[in-house]
Amino acid sequence: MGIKTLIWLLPLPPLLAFFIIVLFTNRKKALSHTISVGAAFLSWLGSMVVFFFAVQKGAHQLGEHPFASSINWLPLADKWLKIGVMVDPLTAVGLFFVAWTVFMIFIYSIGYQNYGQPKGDHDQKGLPPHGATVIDEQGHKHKVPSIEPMYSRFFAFIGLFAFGMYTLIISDNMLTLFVGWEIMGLCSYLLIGFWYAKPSARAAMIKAFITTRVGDVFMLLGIGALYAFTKTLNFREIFFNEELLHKMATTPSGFFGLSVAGLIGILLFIGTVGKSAQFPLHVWLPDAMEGPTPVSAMIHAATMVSAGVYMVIRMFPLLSAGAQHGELTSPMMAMAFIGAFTALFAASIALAQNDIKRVLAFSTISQLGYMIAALGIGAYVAAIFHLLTHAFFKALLFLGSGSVIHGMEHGIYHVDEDIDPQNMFNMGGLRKKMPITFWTFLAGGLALSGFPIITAGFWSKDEILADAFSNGHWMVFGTLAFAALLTAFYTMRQITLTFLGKPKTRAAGHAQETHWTMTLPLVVLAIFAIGFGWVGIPEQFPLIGGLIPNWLHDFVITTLPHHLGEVGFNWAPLLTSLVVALGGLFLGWYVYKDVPAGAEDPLKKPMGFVYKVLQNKYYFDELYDIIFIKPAIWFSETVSYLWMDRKIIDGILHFIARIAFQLGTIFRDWFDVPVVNGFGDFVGESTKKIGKSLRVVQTGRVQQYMLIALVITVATLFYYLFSVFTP
Amino acid sequence: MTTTDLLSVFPLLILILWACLVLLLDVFLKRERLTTILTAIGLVVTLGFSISQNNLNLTGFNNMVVVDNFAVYLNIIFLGSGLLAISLAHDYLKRMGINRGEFYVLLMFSISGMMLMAIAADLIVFFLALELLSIPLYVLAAFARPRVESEEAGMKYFLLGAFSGGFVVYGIALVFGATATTNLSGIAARIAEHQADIPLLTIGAALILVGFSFKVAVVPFQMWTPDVYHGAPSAVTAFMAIGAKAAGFAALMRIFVAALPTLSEQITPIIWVLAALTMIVGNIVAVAQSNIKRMLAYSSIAHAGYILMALVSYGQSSVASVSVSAALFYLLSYAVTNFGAWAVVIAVEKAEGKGLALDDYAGIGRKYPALAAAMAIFMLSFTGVPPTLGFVGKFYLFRAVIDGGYIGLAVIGVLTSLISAFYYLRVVVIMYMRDGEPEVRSEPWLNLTTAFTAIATIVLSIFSAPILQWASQAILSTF
Repeated sequence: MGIKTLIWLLPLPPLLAFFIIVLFTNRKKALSHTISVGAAFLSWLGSMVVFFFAVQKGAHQLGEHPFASSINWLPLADKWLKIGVMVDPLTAVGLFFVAWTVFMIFIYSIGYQNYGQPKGDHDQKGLPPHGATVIDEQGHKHKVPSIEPMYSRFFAFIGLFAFGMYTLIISDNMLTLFVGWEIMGLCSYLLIGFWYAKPSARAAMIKAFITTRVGDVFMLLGIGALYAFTKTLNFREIFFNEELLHKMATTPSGFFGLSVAGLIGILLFIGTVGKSAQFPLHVWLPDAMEGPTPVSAMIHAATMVSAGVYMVIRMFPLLSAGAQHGELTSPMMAMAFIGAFTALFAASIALAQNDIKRVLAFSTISQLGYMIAALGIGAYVAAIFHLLTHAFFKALLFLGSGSVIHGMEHGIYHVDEDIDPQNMFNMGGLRKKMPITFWTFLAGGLALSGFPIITAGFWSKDEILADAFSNGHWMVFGTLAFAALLTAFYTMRQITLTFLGKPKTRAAGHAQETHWTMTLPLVVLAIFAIGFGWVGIPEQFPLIGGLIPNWLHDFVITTLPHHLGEVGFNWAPLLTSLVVALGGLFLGWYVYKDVPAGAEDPLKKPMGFVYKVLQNKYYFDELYDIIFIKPAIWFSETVSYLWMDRKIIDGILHFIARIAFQLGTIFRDWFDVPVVNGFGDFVGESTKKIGKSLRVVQTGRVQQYMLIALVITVATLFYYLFSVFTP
Repeated sequence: MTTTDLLSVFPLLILILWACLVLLLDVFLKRERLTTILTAIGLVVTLGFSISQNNLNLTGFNNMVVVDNFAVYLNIIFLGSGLLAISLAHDYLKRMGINRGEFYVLLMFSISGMMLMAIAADLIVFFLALELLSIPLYVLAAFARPRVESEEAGMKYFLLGAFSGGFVVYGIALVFGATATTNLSGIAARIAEHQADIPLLTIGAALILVGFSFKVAVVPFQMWTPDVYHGAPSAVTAFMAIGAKAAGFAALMRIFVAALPTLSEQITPIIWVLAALTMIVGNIVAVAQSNIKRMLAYSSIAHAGYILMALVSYGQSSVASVSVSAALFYLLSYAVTNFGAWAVVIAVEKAEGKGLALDDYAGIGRKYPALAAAMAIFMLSFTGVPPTLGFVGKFYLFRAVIDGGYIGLAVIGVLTSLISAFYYLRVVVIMYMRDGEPEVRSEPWLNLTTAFTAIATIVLSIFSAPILQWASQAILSTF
């Protein structure tokens, strides 16, 4: 089997798993998860093989001649619309992180959905499991976690989700990329609302779907504009055609003084704003926590939001078309501004969240802002680097938080306490109870805060800062540096509250380490969260630079038609990132190190009003409710329903119905009755019941059919003859 | 008779001889299963010979038959349909208590008529083929005797068929009168030499058009369709809806594109009106149906209208070949989807005409997810939603119509497709969103057919390029 065939096959196993589970095995839990995880394994294996071959081929070879294969799909005028797959260096590293994180999340899901546990006492479909009562040998009653009632359905959906992401990553054109993009949109809707009997989950699924839809509409416009201008949607045909890019960058589009490239770039970027939850379309991502935790990891790390960033990275040659030295194009400006702003804005909200998953949600938004901002200032490699490291450590953190919640739930069942298992102020001291979760979570947390040298997050974040600094983007540099400080602070706050100190509740004191299916993925991802940074150490870094070649830079840079150089080393950004990371971590530990049980957040009093604003996420949900949702509901209820539907459309329909009825009556009285009667009496019987006996057939309707056909034919012929023989 | 003559009709001969043989053997065979297997073998062998005729471009019997890629393409559709029909019928006949060996023999005779239609190049041969394909179908429609509906269907089909045959013969006579020949190449030559009586020829051509319009169920000659499709055994209907329609269109395309392009000034407006009427009436009336067989009958009328669109631009030589290949591709996509849909109908159908109401599909989505998913795929394909064959077929067809400059007709086509979404998706809605206690047959060959067609509907739409290319090489030989 050739490597190209293998690339085509990569997305298929999860898709097949989806269909097999939905159609056949949905009642067998073990079989379903075996199929699903097996499919994820096959795709993982295939991805690793492809990755290996890609690396072996060498960066420059692969950059110029990627593994590509395409087929004709639809004939359009004089050529074909092609769809196909391609693995260039960017796709190769994309496949790498997607394959690993997806596979780990699949394994983790087995444990998370309580495989092997008994059925719940009162569990029902559409609600999270509520635990089951078991009686042990001594006759004691215990409450233990119960298995998810819709276990198979979950594995089917995440299979489809993975299919969407693989499709998107290996696409060589905008069309199939968009198909994968939309499949993920659907899956996020299905999975965020997985527990559909919860009103909050229902609201979240609709919110996620509609918010991302706003971005998708613009993106579709961008794709349409791209096709209209270039007559192709193939990436390489556009990016490696310098003349075309130049033409796009210099032709004015007629909108807001943008060039064609600028307009398309901005439209596509709005798609990313929706998908990757950038301001102002960020509101859906925190609510996406309503889904089961593996889904959060899927959405926040492995697939959905990464897809948004991946798309703009993919389109970078177009977005930067026309950029002169140091000067940014309009889409890049927009990205730099929105990305940096989002990074800071979301980090500040994360300071005041108490839900362990919600903190992570806002940190995702913030980190995505880093990537977007990095791309906006032209730091192409840094953006890719951060995308990769973030995927690993954020998947790790989400899975870790799921493990924490599970451990807490175990404690809650044990002591029968009624508390929120996700509130960090109910935790504390889990370090000893859940050691594996603690150490891996710590690795992820340090990576997120950019703990120097040993974590992957440090290298990627430092590279963004260094890029911003050396290219003189002071605003971006300052904003991101400050956001990094906040990041380190809230991360340490989270770790301190959750794992350090003493248990704040009895449940926390009885928490228990989770099943190996959950901890194994944590360990694997923790290795990446620490070690993955080593592939991208800048050559000129003091002491250790150059020991390991900066493989990532050399590899992915060949994706671009024009290779960018590495930025020179400078002490200032390095010192800044050291100070903000260590300072933030220290402050976070110091402030929260001994919060007693039942106490409020120590920052709540001193920060006062500001804390409240942060806690309520700057009231964006409320704002959108007033300016979008309420008017939309009013409009649909009053204008659309009452006016359009009831009055105008129904009115017209009733009018037509009345006329039709009257026409029918006239036909019956003046045509049907006399004409049909002209045939004889048989018709009356035949209309009552269609063809009950041969008598009716022979003498009835068939003649009618024939007569109609004959009349029409003869009439047409007469008309024709008439027109021929009359001059 | 030369070797070329023999070669050109060789697959046809094989099939007819085989059918006669099976007819004789059937008397001695104790088990019906053997008849089924023998028939399948016959069809597969014929299929092999038909495929081997690709790119041969033979003419035989003094230009009375012509074997070009167009004919090969259609023959493959006919034989493939025959095979699918067998797999549908195998268990169905048993279940309905009408398991008689003649079914298979009649099927083979009917297919041989269709194949003769595809290679015919003389009006007399067309008529011969028409009768050869139709008479077995009349019997097959009435095959479920003594069920009254089935007998009625057979009778009606026969009467209307005889009636439409009259039109064809009268048309042939007039064309002969106008050109003194019945051979297509001869007719084309006469017209080119200005020796034809054009008004007479036009009337003859119009009558031939009317005659075949009955066969392919074009409005206003469609009235028999719902009654016959409803009354005939479902397996027969599935075959009839493809075979007879494809054969009718084969004749229309061959006669009009190859021999009468010069008449397009007079004929095109008629076809335009017929196509528009067929799409409108077929789709609108289908909305009102509550019986799945009748709904599919009207849907087949509507699809005849879509295919007929391809003929509108038959006079423009630059567009004609694109249109013909669009129609051929559409026939294939319709065939695959249609057999799938009928397979589901057969799975749900019970004896005595029960289980045919749309309401009987309630709850299938929950109880039989695989079957419901397949049916949903077929319905989406009928509507023309990507990624299904129906979408690619419609896309290609509309493109050909627009290339021919008939934008108005394309707009009607798109709008009526929109209407069709209503009744196709209603099936999906009923399956998934209504509760019910459906009982569904699970028979191996039936399931296989459903799965095969469902997967083909999706996969062939994604990798449609080879088929499109194959269809676009299936160009009619012109004279």
